[in-house]
Amino acid sequence: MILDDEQRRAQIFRAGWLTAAAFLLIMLLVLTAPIWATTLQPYRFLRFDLGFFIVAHGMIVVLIGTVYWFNQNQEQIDREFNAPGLA
Amino acid sequence: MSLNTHYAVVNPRLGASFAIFTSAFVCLVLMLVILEQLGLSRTSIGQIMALAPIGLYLFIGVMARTIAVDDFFISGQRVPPLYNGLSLTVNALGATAALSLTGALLFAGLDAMAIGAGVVAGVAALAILFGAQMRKVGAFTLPGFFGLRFNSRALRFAAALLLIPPCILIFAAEAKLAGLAASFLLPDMGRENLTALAAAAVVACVILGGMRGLTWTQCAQTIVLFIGLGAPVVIVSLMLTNLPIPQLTYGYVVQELSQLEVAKSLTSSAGATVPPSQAFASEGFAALTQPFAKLFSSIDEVDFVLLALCVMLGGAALPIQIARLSTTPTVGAVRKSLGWSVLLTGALVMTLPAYAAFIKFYVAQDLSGQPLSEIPAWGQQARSLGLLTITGDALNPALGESETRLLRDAAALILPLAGKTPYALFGLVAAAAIAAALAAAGAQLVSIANALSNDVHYNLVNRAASPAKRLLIARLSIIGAAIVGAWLAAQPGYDPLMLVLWALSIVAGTFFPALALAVWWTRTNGTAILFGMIAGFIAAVGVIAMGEAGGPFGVDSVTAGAVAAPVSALVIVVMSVMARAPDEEAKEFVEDMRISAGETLYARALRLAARGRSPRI
Repeated sequence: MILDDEQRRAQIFRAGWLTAAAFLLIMLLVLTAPIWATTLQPYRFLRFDLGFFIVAHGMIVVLIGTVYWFNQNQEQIDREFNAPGLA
Repeated sequence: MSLNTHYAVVNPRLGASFAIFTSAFVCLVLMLVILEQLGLSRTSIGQIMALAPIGLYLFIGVMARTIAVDDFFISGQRVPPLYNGLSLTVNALGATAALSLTGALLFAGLDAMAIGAGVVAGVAALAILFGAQMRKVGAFTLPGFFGLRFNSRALRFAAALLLIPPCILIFAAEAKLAGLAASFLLPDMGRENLTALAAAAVVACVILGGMRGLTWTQCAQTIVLFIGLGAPVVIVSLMLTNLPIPQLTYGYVVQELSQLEVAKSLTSSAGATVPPSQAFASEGFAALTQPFAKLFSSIDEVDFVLLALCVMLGGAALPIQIARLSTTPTVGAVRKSLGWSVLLTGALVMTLPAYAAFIKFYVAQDLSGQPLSEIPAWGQQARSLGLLTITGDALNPALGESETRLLRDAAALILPLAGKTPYALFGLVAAAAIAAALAAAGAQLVSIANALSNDVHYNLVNRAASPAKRLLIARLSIIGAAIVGAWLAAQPGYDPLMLVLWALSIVAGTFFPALALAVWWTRTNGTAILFGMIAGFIAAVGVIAMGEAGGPFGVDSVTAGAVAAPVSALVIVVMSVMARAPDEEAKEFVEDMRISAGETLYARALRLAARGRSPRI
């Protein structure tokens, strides 16, 4: 399938914004983890201090979720522009 | 119209093959457990657990032999997502995570999760920033991508040279860890000899099949890694918490551990933050002095963030990870493989704090401060294996109270003994560590070999080289790189974790800004990328050298990437802005990278070059 210029621009624009949003999310997560962890340390969750839980597990779960959210949306964009993968 | 999204897998019985491998390995462990009860000696169990899995990896490596260039360098682009995800996972983790990170968590507490979080964030960044684009380009290597993107052989050559030092550092670290883990199963052979043998085993696994051999041996090794680290921690979790989900249930153990640490004076260094290179360093046997659950007790918040960033940026631009993105059949498949990888990497990294907490709980409860006469059998056994020392010198000699000192990189092996599980499980954990080390070390060899063959020899020396010659160069490169790496691994005084963190900082400074800007910024050009990479490399190596020498800037050596990456980015941006805007062809190349459909840009360049129309190849 050959995309016209307008479709190419639209696909690149939407994929670019999706990438920026996902990357910003993981950067924010890594950069602000100590703040979250310190602030939430007094609270408890599953017998863990919440700050401990965020550093040991919460960050990782959010990172996994972010990649799955990114992949789902990127696939959606590809489907919309009828480009599911390399032929 | 729609495009064909179905693709042939390399082998329709691939799932069955790995199911058989997994069953055979589990049966081997169960059989050893039974034979142990029937009187099989621990020496024999150790020998079988060390050698049988390696025999299986060698068998896979031989079976995956190839003489086809595409198979050797990019595994024929037929690796299904799950299997590519397994390989990406073990590349990201290696034995550094299985052994050194577990030990760092034990000694420095939860602050060591800066490394774990960085590893997972690195895979996530790889998935988001580069995954689809690298597959769309379809280059064999990271330098090959730069050469194609900027139509520059000099840039491709420079990138190939710059990727060798970090790959050698990681190879040396992994070979050293393989030798260490094997030395507990084969104590008569000597650690240095085992390190050399591990390097030889890595060469044997990948020399015949290149990336193809690496892919299938890594899949087997990742399965062994997950079984080996998962089995003891799940069993101990069942024993301590009645539930087989250690990641969620060890909160109770952490509470108990915090009380034990206070009662047994295991918190003498609490709050005394030091640079990460000191907090996580390993110098022989050491005592536990940091509380496990107290945040930012061994390193401060700034170092936590900087270290996580360096590991993340380095992991995202690691040359072997970039090369592996070209091995799947489609762009969609590479996304799925990265999804698998981030899930598996995350699952293992989330398990490591539980693993370390259980070890520390047992050590604090059963060994620390106990009168020497009351040391339990597992403690005596661990001492006799050389995993720890127990002395009566430190706490209260009059009462005979003991102090336990542990080896950071061997601490993970203590859990099966402390949990009083059969000795075969001790062998299983050691086999898992060896598997992870061989997998990660093999990846670095293939990365170097592919770069030297494709980006140095074929690119600059002999454009008319036949496929056989290219494979020969790659195979010789594998042997040469292994010899250099094994020599470095044999040098005393190098901490494997520090070697890997330095390598990641060098990659973060040298390749991450260059790669990110080459993919996402149309305006940049090859000259800017070349100077940016060199500036990032020099900055990273300089900061590491100054950090080790106690230099003037106060930046720790393992966070060198936090200085080098901005330096590299700045050089690239300034030089790109000062230069002329790129031509339409370069702009179109960047746009095409972002469109998932269509042939790979490498294939298109090959096709056009055959007609004499494209200089990009």
